[in-house]
Amino acid sequence: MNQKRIHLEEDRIMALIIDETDLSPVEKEHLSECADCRGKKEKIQEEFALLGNLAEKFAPESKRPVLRKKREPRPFLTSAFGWKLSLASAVAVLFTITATWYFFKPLRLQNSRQNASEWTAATDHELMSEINAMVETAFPRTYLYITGEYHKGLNDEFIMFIVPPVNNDSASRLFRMKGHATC
Amino acid sequence: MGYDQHSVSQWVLEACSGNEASFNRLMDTFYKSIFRMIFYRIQSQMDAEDITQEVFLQAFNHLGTLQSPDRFKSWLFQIALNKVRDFFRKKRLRSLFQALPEKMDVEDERSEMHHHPEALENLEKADFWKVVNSLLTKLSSKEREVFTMRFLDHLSIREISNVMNKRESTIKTFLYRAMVKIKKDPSFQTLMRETL
Repeated sequence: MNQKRIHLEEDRIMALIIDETDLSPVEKEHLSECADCRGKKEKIQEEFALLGNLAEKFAPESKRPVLRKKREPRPFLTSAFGWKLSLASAVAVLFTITATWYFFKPLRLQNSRQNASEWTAATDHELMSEINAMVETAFPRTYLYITGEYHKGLNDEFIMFIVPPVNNDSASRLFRMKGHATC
Repeated sequence: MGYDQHSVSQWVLEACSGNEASFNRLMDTFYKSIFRMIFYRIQSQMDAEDITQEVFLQAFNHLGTLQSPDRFKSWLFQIALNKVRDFFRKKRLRSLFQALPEKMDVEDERSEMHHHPEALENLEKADFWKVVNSLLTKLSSKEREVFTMRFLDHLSIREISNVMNKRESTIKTFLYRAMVKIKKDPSFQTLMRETL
């Protein structure tokens, strides 16, 4: 009986406003019998309700007419399915390109090496053909007079002087004169 | 609030199947409460009107994603809350590039009070929102949101838990803390004394 005379504190009353089931059976019993506590509860409830009512009163009325727009179809890329599909496609394309690149890389390297040797061989062959053609179709000596490219000084004797044969070269003679044995 | 849950669920189902008239009924039912909900948070009529329209437009375009028609109101408030958060994010971003911050409507009303025929009412309005703002700034962001939804937006504990994606027990805890803080605040007591 003593417990019933103890009034509910303000904090407990606020908990009660939030949820009545939160009270203990003793507190419930007290509340049903105590007019003071019920009055306190109603006063606090009224104050908080008043705050809401005043807010509603002091809020402006919306002057703009109610919007009634037709539903617009979303662009494909921004639709829930569209962007996922686009992303998946992009990933698939990227994967394919990367896979192809790596798969054909050794083959491409081999091809490039083979091509290089083939190209060198072809260039050599072409060069040799040109040299052979020049040798085969060389101008006769008479034409050298006409073109002015013939020089008297450049006969065989002169060439022998410039480029002597190996057994007669000047270096060997010099070695012999100084008493060195020939190799 | 002037509607019953059964009708709302019915309109939602009809709107989902493409009935525009049903969506318009939903809009007529919730337009004011969504507008007020947004206004309480951003306190600018023009911005609140714009955001309210965006909320309904988004709701209309994504109505198919609503899992339960019974949760339409919570869903709508959730969209509105996200839009309000977006608004503040953009506003913060804008303020980084602006020399002078934008003035709130409440401040504008104050400065124009003497030229307006309804000066007294505007003064009351401005003072009221000033008190409410000062009270709400003393709460944590979660407490503030729960308190505003419960007493200003008149949502139930269950609806708040749906909007905020939190358990009802958590919502009750936040609400309890907020109520204790507000009740003990002298400015709240003064406001109540003057009003009552």
